[in-house]
Amino acid sequence: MGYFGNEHQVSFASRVFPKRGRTEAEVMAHLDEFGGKDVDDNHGHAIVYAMTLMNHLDAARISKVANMNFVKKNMLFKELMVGTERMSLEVKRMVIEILNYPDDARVRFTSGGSESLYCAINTARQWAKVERPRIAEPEIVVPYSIHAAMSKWCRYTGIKIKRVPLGPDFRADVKAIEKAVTANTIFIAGSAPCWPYGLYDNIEALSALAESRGIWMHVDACLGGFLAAFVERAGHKLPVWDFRNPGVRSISADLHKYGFACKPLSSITYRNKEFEKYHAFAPSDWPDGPYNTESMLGSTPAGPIASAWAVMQFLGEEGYVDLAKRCLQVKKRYIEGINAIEGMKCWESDLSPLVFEVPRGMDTFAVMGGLFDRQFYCLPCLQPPLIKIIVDPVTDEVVDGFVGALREVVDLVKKGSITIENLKPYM
Amino acid sequence: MKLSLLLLALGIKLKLSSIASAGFRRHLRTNDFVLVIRTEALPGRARSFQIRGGRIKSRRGRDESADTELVWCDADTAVRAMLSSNELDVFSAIGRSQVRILGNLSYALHFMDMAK
Repeated sequence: MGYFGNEHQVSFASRVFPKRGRTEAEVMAHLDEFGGKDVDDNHGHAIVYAMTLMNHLDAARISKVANMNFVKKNMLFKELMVGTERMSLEVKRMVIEILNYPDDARVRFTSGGSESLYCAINTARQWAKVERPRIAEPEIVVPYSIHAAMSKWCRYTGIKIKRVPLGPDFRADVKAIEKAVTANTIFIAGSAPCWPYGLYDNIEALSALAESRGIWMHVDACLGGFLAAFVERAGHKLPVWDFRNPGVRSISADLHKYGFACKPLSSITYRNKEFEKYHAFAPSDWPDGPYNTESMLGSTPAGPIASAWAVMQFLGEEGYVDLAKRCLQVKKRYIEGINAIEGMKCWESDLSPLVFEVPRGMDTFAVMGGLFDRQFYCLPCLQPPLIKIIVDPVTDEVVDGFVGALREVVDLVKKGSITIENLKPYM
Repeated sequence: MKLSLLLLALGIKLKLSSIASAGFRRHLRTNDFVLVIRTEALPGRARSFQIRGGRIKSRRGRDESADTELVWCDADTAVRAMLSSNELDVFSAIGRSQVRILGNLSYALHFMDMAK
């Protein structure tokens, strides 16, 4: 099932699994055929394809080659891979250095933002079992705009989630969150920035609330963490979103987004070892003894970690700062281009993504359909209807191509030549 | 008037389906919520649907404790979209801001799926 919920109905005329193996050339040609049907990298920039689309094509290539070179290695068996383990520890150290985390912060790798958020809630749950043993029915309280993965984990585990309506500025309503916190609350969270609107919640106030109530506070910086670190170095002001707020106990940040590593790779970092100890669980209630893993997964691919190491070493701080500056230029160019189209309006966003409204009365999803037809893939927001683009460090040509397509689509929607039916094949 | 009748009929249809179909009851059981459908112009002229434990109740008026509200710009637009055989018409109305979804979006989507 795809992101939009579609399920392709495919019928198979014959067996797919061959009796006799095919030649390498045949296999590779067929794979090329599959890949050739996908979105073109340069056009698909609006979805998070950051690694393949970054302006810096050398870094993108190095990242891919590094991934490929370590593709067979499984970090489940670290003891057997002294070199790979050393590389992995160096990446963790670089995460701490890049994100200005405290020296004793503890980084764990995960397969992506969702797993990082699962870990955050689970770690808080394990902490609460020890430190708040009277809580039988734990609940978490989060702003309505927090990533949907939190609801997913709560559904899986039976933890109650309270999504609190946002304030009029579409950020967490801290007073309302405070009211929603009860004796059963073990965890609150904020986004830096949130996925729906690209806005930072007031992490400082949420942190103070968590401290005063003695509960776990997590910051979801999955999307923006690695961009925030470098735009701040470039002189761009952002709210204080990290461990500088004393109530924050864990932060998630994806290396496979603005870290430009290959997918899947994210990080969850705990303020210190004391909090990290609730993350780890090594079950031993089976014949083979303790089963130690990095996070939730068992087998853990080393390739993305190698790609992170390679791209971090290749770009260095200066390279990342340049890409971050480029992201800000790209964002400005999008805003100027989109706002110049009659009736279109970009929302203020703190970082990325960038969201915009279509002219009053126009069908947002028809506009998306027209953009999809032109291979510009955007994401929707339904409350309110908005179109979302992820700010990547792409070329001016890509931005101008998008804006030009948008202008054309808006005209055609006005004329009735494009409707929501254009979006149907992708839904 | 047309919208009130339509919502009344929808409530009866959902109630009968929940009695007649075990599959539909199972579908209802996945979520407990209260949803209100109303118009921007006449907030008082609303219908509330309460889904709890696989059962559905509907009543005239706006339940103040609703988890989700579907607020249509006007009754004619609401009737046209809800009676349309093309399910994309409701999404198109969302895309045009002809209907605003207040509160928890997942309940609105669940309800729209049930009402198909």
